[in-house]
Amino acid sequence: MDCYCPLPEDLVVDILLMLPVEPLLRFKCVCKHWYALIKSESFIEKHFHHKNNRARLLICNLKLEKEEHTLVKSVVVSLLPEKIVPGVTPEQKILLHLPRTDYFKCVAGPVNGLFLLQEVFCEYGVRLSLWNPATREFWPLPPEPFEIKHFFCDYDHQFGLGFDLLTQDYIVVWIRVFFDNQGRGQGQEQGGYPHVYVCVYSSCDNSWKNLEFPSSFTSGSLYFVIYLNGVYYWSCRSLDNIYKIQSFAMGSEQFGEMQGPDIPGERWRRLTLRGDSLAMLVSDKSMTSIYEMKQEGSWSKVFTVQPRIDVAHLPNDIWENDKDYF
Amino acid sequence: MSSSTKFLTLKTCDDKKFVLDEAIAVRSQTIKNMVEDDCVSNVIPLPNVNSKTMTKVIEYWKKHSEEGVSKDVLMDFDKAFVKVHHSILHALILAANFLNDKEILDMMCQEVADRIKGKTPEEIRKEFDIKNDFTPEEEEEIRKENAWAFE
Repeated sequence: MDCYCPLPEDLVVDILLMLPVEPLLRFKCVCKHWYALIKSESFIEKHFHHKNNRARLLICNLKLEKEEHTLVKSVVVSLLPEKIVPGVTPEQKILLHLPRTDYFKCVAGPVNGLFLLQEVFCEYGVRLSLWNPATREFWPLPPEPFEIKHFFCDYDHQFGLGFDLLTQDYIVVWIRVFFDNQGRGQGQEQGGYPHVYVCVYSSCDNSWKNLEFPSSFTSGSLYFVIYLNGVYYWSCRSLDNIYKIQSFAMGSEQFGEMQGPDIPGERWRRLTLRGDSLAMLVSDKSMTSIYEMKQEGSWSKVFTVQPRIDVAHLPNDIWENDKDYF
Repeated sequence: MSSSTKFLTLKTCDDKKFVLDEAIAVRSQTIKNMVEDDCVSNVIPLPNVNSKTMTKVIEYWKKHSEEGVSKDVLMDFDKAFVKVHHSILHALILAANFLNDKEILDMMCQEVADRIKGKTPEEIRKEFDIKNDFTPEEEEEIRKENAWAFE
């Protein structure tokens, strides 16, 4: 009785958009058309922003594994099931297994669901990788080309991961600050002065390049890194305690430097986001205030909380419609 | 209901007529546009929808237009509503698409997605009447790209 009526293409796409990642990867081999569709940028973007995919809770657990004769450290990242039933030990799906890694850290992300991972191997040093937990794809990045002089010693560093909307490339920026021990006694009373080196990786050619950090900028310790609309922001404290906000725009590869809120830098507690603006949490003995950057370098106080919020309980970097998460 | 309640007559492709309160029928964006553009004569023809499918759609519209019906009741109703044979599911998707009722369309597409998510590529080809245009070697290559999804 019921004749077969094939669904029009746009409805088939709507249905596929509702599927989780796992069956989609499997359905790539249904036919050439589906393969091209599921791998297309536009489909991936629509799927990522689909309402079904909003909740993305990833639980990592790291463990030591004993291989036959030796104790081998390895990292296992697992995903807890969607529903957790009281009293039942949840079965975890293993998403990533990094053998022989001595130390592992997620140093940036997620950006479009991607994380930047840093692995430390005792024998080989450091390796950076991009990781997509949903598709379980893992791309080790090529070695970074920092030209480090033998008399430099590591002082500080920060990572950033971003997406260049114009070129659709993933960009990794690695800022490293070194102490130049040879500079000792050459007019620097502290002994030595910091050098800032920047390397930028781009996924389009899978390679790194060195960028010149403007020599007129403040250099020193880096902290409170935050990503907003293709630009990385962080604060920098020089050896003589000058505090600045610095930025790096992923697309244009331009560095920027601007003033923070007009409050002594020792009281800056965290650079964060408030809606679509950069914000700074500032504390003194009795209260914590939030300053929002309305225009570049122009900050104004939004509100104040009394009593002061402890450093340990400062809100996380997620702010949505004036709600903050502790 | 006031005396101003207007009724519309819908005629399906198999010549069955359904008389429906306009306030309910305008859940269909397509019918709503026709009403607003004042191009509704006595009978609205629905050439792409058969009476069996239309009966289901109207059942949904009426339930979701009832006053004072609780969320839980509606949820149970929806759960039972989507439990239909594959062919009716397809017909409902096509009807919801034609009538431009996003609520029913989304619910039915989600049901198809839930039904197919555990299937193998072979089962999907059967379900959607798709011919495999890969060589066995090509298919094997693609399976290797994401072997974990086939475990």
